[in-house]
Amino acid sequence: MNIVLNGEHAEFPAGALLTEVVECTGLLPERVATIVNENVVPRAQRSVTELNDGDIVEILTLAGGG
Amino acid sequence: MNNNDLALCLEHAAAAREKVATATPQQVAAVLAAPRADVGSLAVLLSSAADGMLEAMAGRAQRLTRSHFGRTVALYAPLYLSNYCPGGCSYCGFAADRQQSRRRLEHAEIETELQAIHHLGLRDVLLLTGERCPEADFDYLALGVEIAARRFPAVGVEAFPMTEAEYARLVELGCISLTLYQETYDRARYDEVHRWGPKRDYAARLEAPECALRAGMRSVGIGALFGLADPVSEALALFQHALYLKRKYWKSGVMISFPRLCSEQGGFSAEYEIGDQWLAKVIWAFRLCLPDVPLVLSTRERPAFRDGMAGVGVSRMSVASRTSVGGYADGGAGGDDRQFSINDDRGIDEFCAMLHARGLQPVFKNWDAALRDGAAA
Amino acid sequence: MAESDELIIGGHRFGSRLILGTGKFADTAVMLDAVKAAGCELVTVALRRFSEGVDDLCAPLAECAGLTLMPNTSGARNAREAVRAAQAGREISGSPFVKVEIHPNPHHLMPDPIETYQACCELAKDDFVVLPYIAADPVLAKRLEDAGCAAVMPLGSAIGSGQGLQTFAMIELIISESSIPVIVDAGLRAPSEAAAAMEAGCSAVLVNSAVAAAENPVVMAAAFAQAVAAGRMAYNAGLMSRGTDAVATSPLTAFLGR
Repeated sequence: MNIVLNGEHAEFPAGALLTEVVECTGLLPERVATIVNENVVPRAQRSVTELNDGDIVEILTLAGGG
Repeated sequence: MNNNDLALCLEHAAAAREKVATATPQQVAAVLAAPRADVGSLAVLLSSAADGMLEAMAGRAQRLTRSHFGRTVALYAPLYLSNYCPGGCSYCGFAADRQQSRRRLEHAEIETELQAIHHLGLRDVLLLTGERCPEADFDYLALGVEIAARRFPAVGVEAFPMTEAEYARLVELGCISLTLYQETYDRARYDEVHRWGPKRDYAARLEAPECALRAGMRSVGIGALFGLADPVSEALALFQHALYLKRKYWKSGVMISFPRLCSEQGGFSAEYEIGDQWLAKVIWAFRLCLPDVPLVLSTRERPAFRDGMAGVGVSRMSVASRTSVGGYADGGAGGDDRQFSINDDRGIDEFCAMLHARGLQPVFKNWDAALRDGAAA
Repeated sequence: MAESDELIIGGHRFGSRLILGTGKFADTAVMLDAVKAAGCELVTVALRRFSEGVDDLCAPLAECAGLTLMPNTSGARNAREAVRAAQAGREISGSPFVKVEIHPNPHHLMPDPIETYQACCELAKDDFVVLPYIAADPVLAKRLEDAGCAAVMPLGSAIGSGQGLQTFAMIELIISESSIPVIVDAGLRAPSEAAAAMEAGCSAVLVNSAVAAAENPVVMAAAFAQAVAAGRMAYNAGLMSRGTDAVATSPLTAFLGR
């Protein structure tokens, strides 16, 4: 299936979990926030959040800002 | 500091009391230069170190009054609806145990009195009763408000603490302000002078002003009856109470009055002698720390004092007052049945002439209900 | 003053009254050095999509002892986006603090008061420690206080403009009316302006560009720290009179018969 990950198309096996997508980034899971289709998904929910074709996923980290 | 907790605000007032004894002239000069709306500033100005700088305080008070209120003084008249009272305030001429002829104004008499006040040109009236009693209960007061609001754009009440629902009803009927003095913020002294009756409930009285504001009252007037307890502590507590109300209910107005105890029927003598100089200093100190709050001075005060304070700190004054029930229509012939004696019995023309001579314009009306939600007919 | 002079925001205590923004630095190392040089205890950070080549600040900031993070909502154009950003920021930082900034106009970056108010109402109910970045509007400041904000952050002038305290009179008014800390955020250029804000009674100052864009950001951070501390000290000490009060020719106290 196709999802939009941080604004770009990405291919994942059908039924992939949000945790698996986070793992792909190589970042520590506690150091990112995840948003699926405009809803923030708390860390504890990621392993039970099954993604669907066309989902829009954002993985955010902290950056410099004022 | 949590400014939204009244008890805590009053504790800060008590803590600031110590500062009054140790303040230096240098501190007074610094506060005079840049007064702040905090109790520490007020404490410094109340100290004896400020006594030598009264002229500078007065000058600053006049400039601040002028810049916030213009060269004007707002005028109002008190109307005593009833002098029935179940209260046991040892300092009050209307207390239940005083030899006093009791009466209340009936509907037609209220009209007549209001007519007389209206005739003087006044448009701001304050309706007064004693503590809640069968002769002068909520419905009676509500009737007074209803009648007054038909002719007067500004109607206030000074009566007994009420429930929020009752305050809301008064607002509905056209009441725009509540005046309720704590009398004394000193708990022990409060218990002592309020010998019996509903007024013994210190907390209920303390909370009443904000209860009225929650009910939608446009403004509240608070005050301490100076002379009952340590006047410095009273001033600090009063200030904190005002600041608390002003910050928490920031859409509402807060006014402050400075009544001092005078001997009345029954021979109650004040514990603390409050001299002219001291009272003037307190009022100027409040003006410096709260530049935009109306400060009120009544006809309890002598003409010379009132004239000197008009526009110099004080921005709102009662005029041509009668403190006896039915006093306006009978020309003040009511005799001895007054709550307290009037020291300024000048008529309105004479008083206004005095204001004009001092470059001040008397203001009879500066608000009406034209734009108010659900404006009365 | 007997009581300690800590900055208390939403029940959290800080010794330092200088808050730094973490953006616009040449690199992360300089930013971290500036934060340390300033003795900062609270910094604001933004949220960005993870991508290769962008420094993730989470780990390096976590190594700074005693530092509280305040994620901001920059990039949000409305209340909905800001709430989403705040929730995401809390996920990563574990901090209840959030700086709500919503600027729909990408040029002057002035905050949208209506969207900001809506976002703050929602976030305060959700137990965030909410610090909104606002225009220096005393009424808006009170509305936000009522909504449960822990502090308000009026701007001195436009973000990054370096125009200093253009809104000084309004900030003074906000301070005199406010029951919560008032923090000047945005527009400052020189440490003297930070000191002026503190002398007037501001509880803290937030700067970013003024430090990040200085010739030597680390030294400038230290300079701001000293200015903020000096301004606070001066506020506590009470300033002397400006000029002399002229005494009226006919004394105003004559009626007192002294």
